[in-house]
Amino acid sequence: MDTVLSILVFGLATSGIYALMSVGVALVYGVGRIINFAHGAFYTLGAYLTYLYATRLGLGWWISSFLSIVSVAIFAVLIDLLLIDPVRDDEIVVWILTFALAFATREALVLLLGARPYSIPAFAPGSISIMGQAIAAQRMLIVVVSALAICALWIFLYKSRIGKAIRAVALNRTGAHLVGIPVRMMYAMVMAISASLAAVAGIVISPISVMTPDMGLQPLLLAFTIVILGGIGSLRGSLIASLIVGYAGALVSFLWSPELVTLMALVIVFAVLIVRPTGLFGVAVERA
Amino acid sequence: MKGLSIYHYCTLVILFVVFAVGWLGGQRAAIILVYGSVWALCTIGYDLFSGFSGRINLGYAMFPGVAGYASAALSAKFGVSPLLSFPIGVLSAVLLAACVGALTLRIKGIYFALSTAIVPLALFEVTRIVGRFFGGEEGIWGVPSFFQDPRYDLLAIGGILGVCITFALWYVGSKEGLILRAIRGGEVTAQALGVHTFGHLFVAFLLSAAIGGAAGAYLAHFQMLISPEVLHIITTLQVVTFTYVGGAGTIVGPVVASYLLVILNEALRAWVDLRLFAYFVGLVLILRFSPEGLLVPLGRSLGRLVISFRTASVRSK
Amino acid sequence: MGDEWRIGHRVTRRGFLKLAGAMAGSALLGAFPRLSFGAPSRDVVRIGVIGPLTDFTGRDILRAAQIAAEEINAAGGILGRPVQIFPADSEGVPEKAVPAFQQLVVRDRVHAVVGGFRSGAVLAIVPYVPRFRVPFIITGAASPDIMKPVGENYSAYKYLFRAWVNSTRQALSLALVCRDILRKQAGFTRFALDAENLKWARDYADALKEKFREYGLDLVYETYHDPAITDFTPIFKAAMASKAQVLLQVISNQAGYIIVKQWWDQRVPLALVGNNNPSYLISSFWRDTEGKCMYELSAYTRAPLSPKSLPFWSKFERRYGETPFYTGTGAYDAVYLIKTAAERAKSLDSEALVAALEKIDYMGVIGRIRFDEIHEAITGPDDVPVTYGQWLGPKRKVPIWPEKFALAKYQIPPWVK
Repeated sequence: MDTVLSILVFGLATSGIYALMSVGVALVYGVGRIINFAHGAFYTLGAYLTYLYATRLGLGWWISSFLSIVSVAIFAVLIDLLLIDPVRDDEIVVWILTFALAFATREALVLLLGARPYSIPAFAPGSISIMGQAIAAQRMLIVVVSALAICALWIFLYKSRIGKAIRAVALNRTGAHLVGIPVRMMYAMVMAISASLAAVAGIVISPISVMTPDMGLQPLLLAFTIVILGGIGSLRGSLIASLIVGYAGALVSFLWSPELVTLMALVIVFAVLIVRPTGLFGVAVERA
Repeated sequence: MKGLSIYHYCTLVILFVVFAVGWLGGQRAAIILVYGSVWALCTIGYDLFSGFSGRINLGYAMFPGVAGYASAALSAKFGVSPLLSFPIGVLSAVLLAACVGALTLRIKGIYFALSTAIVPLALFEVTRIVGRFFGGEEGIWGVPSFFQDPRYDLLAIGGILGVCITFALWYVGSKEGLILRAIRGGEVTAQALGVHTFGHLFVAFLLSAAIGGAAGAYLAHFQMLISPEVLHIITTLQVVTFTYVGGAGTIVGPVVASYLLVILNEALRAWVDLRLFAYFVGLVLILRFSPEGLLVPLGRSLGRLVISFRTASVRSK
Repeated sequence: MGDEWRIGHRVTRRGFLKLAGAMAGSALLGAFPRLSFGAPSRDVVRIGVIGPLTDFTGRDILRAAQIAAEEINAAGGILGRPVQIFPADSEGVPEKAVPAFQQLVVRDRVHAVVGGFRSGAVLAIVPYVPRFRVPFIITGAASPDIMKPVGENYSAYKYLFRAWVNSTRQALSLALVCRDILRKQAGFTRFALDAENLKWARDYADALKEKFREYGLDLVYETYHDPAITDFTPIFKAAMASKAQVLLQVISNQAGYIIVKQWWDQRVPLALVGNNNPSYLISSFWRDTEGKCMYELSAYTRAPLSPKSLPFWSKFERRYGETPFYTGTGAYDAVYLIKTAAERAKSLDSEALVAALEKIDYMGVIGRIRFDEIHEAITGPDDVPVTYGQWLGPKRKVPIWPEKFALAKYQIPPWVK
């Protein structure tokens, strides 16, 4: 019973982080038509900038988080407009460029702060007791925050005009351009949203984990496997795949060993790619 | 063919320069050039398949990785002679390519790239999970080396490099190369014309694996160690980068780029802290402003320069 | 790909290409002098420092070595010659450690090398030692396998020395802590072990299990985690399911922060004991874990191992604002070992240094340093001791073991048992 509860909470929190990361990747691919290997950098920067704003500028932790998310979003937009847009049509170049960017960011962090792992204090301090089990309140916060963020995204995409414009670009870039939608701006906006989500993920997980310049690698890898499983370009697919992978991972962690989680995800994805490359819900075009 | 002979001359010049500098420059130069040669060998293997067929193999690291680990494990843990473990390593890379190729070559486009990318990632996990044997994060050390003096290593790998470049140039210049380029131009079109794309891609994939495997196995014995880094996506991306900067689809361009970039990396070592940062920023800038790579356009510019001098001197007469 | 023209950007590209070409060209020119005529001045005593110099685990190697060099130079140098420190970053990984070591011996032509962290990285360097024949004093890697070659092939590997406690002896210390404090004083009988999946930790675990058998201690659960672990919850649950009362941790990287925070947050009913490298950062660990390390009992604490220990710690803290990591204190002593050996041998020649080091009896910051037949430092309460301390307040890691240095008794965490 004890283990079941742990798996439930553990899986939910993990799925939340995965969802935040993978939805961003799916969005950027579905709309912007690029694979952004620098996505992990947004996650890492979210956490680090929060730390820097709070400790170097003396701002409160909540304000620092907010500022950090905004900063990361701006950074993402700049990357998109200045670096990616001119070479957007050449897939390989974008891959290498974003990958190089990810590492340049990592090196910059090492240069600035390198020496030791950093910590952010929990936003929800202490532990809560659920059915006699002590669970870090921060973990519950992760679940709440992810759920809220995803809902906010959904509302934005399906209930607002800009959201409609974004979906139009995902459906048909030329058509959207023809009806007067500023396509480049939509690309930039999508990058900003995806980066913000990643930054949020980085910020909420750091209190129960630790911040290192490499922290973005593993989540990036898992985000990609989830997106493939769900179907590249499908938001709904990413969400459902996040839950599947999150819980499968939790089961494997508790029943066998945490070491096997990544391998499990990779095997699942490989199988998906061989048998049904478009994933669970993937279509070349995103359908609501 | 006219184009081919220029490449052959280039090859000879490169190899000569590399050997000369390595032999005369002392141990340190030789060590740097051996690393350069290993990367160069990787890029040949990569370019042969991806550069000519247009199919991006994002999992290329699996070839040097598997060969390196196989050769290292056999020689370090089971006492097999390096002369035997080396070819066995290369063979294991080819075997892996056969399995992976059989499963993935039928898939097209981005999904092919993603599915191949997964293989080295999974192997990376395996080395950690079976930690006691594969050494986990720390890899396998105590791998016997071929030579004590890195200059002899340079000769050896230079020889392998020469053989592989010659073979690759011959291969891409032949009918096979033509078919690969046709596939790059449009896979569906080629199939419609009756080309058995899978078969040709499969063969090229295996060759790519053999060359990449040779690089990985040699590295294991040169460093006297193999570590999971060789399976990392960074390794594949570095090979892709070198190929790109040199000019994909030329075989020789990536080789030159490998040496230049490895030397550049070493030269920047003086700036201990900034080095990697400058390296990656430089890469971003190159890709942003010259997506076609550096060397091919450079070669063309030089060519035009030469022609313009000639015309100028003709006019002045 | 390569053949196809990219349309557009023609003017910018050509200009940039020229610039890039010029850059690459000048970098090449810059590289060549290094390749051919890099012969540094022979008048200086060159000591190489290797380790993960940008990481908290290795940064202090360089800092401490520099302090030692400054002190020595202020006192006239070694044999009248000034000491210069040459850094090389191994990043704690074998594939970077090998080029770093090569850089020190081939490019910088150092007289001796000091440092090393992570057994995997150091083991990768070991085969190169007979080629270059430069004394290498290891201050941070614990696997016993590192020093075995000294016994098996003395003439080739005699240049290796370890001025630190190897994992077998570290495990012995932990076993004694388990027997004399945890079982005798606190009454715990069931132990669980969680070690990271790295060579030194596996060797440590093996040695610990052997000692446990010898002392009749009960190990009810054993697991190895990936060094990149981010969540210990499954391990806590599994250890609890085995009815363990104590969780023995063997961690050398940033996971040490994570385990402590999660242990506290989840009120895990296990006493947390063992080796946690981040907890060696006595000045910042409490703050970085928001005090959640309270009641953790782990290795390395400030104690007067020798008359030099506390003064050095204070000097280091005044200068860098932090307590020295163990690799630093070892490196400080290692530089002085080289000085002492060189002065006794009246030479910087490798063979002479090795001979002098073998007979050395030096009182360092880490204790009394003497080497045995395979060049391992002799360890024990009166030699190079391993100390254990319990966190009882901010910056307060109170020494609990060995008796000689104990300032308090071990306190059981209130939510355990």
